[in-house]
Amino acid sequence: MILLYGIPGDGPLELIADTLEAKGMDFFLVNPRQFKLLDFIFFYDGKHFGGEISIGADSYPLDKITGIYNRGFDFELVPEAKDLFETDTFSMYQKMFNLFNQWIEVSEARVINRASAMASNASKPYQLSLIKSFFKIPDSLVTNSIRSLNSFREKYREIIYKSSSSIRSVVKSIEHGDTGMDFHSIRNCATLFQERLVGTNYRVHVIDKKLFAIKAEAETVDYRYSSREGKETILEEIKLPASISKKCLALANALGLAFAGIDLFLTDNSEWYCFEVNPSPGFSYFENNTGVPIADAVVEYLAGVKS
Amino acid sequence: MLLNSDDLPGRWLFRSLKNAGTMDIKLISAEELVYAPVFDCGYQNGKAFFSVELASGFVLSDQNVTATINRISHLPLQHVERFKTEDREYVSAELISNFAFLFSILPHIVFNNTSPSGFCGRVRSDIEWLLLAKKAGFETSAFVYENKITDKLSPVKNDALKNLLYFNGRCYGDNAVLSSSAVTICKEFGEISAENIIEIWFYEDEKRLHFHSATVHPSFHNAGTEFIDDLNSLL
Repeated sequence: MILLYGIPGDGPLELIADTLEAKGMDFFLVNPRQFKLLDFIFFYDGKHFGGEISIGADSYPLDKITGIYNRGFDFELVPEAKDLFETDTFSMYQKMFNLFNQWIEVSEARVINRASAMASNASKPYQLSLIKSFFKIPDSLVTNSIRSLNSFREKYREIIYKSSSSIRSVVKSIEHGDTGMDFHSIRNCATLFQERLVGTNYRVHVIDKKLFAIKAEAETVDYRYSSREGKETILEEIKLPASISKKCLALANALGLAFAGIDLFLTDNSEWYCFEVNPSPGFSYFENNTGVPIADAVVEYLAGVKS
Repeated sequence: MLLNSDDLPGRWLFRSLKNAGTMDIKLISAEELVYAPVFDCGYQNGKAFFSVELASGFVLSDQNVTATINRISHLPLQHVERFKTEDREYVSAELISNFAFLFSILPHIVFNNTSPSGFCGRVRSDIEWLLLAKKAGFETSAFVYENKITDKLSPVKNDALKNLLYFNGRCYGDNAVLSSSAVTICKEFGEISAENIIEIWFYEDEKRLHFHSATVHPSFHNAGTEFIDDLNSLL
């Protein structure tokens, strides 16, 4: 039995559910928005864990769950829970979800992905320190000082800025000599700046020992948002050099991620850089645009099929 | 030495190290770091660097720090309340991310390493600690969570609790009340946790050792002078 944990309508979750359905595999969904229908029993007898999840009239023993696809998030962010803030009912459900997440962390099931493994992405510069054993990383500066920022800008033709945390942001660029931008707000919150490299983006999805590489060609700084600028991103499945594939597999393994979305960049000088490893990849964008069977590989992993 | 301003055990540690002869040690609070006029850190050619100028004018940098004791468990984020509602979550996440990075690149960290899941060691849930305790050889207490209520099936009286400090492969505590099996199991617990420092709380009952709790943010209760001397020798 495979457990999907997340919100219906979420692209990756929907693709996994469709694939499970097409393969006729048993699965069920824990939807945090329907928390009022949920019951969670969890026990430890001094040696083993046990329990069950109930959703309305249906019950699922925890020891029958062999795979978990985790797209869950903090109970505080569930829209239907907002009306309950600071009530005993809110605390009760928050505790239930905390324990549910703790169970996922220690479950013997195959999990994509455990919270402990996903944590490195909460700080991109921290994660770069793990990445740099495998790939080159861009020169970076986290600063709250205009003077330091100006010194950094002097060194490069163009720089970019983006979020340092896992909160998604659109990557923006600043060209050398551009005086039209006001960066005084960095004094309130140090911001991550990086040199802008010249070359091509690649997204590599690693699922256990399988790997899918997609080249993303775009004129924009952040290829994910080309359409907002009226431009196009061309996605194409490619085969990576064997040495790079090997490094991608090793990197995902080192981070403890059974499923990872690795952002690579090949410079015009033929140097491979890595910007980030996404532990909960929004892979539906890539699968829907290229037909690369990522969901199939994820489902096979969750079902225990050896790759 | 970095600490939160309300960290009394941290201040005790600082005084003890000073008294033990650690000369060149400086105390820096989380507030001084968060409100630093200049905060720079990053990578140049793959090598990490940092330079943080405090309001006092002192500059903490990779050029002048030789060893780090990090006791900061959380950041003071009261000032974030002044920001627009829609910006607060973002600013808080960015600050935590930036400091997780800064703390992780400080030189010669003698306590636990920083990660985004804990500034001074990985913050584990009770269940993760319990699993570690079981692996180390502790007896572990049963519990039931049902209908959104947790019951510990064998509650413990606090006055029966003992504690031991695991640091750098050794255990420190009140030898008069600790059995040799307690020291052996706690040492095993520390080693499999992969943390450098942990405080472990437990109780003994009919020669069996029952796990109660553990923390990567020790109180140094009963740590003793031997611990201070050993720590001092590492700085």
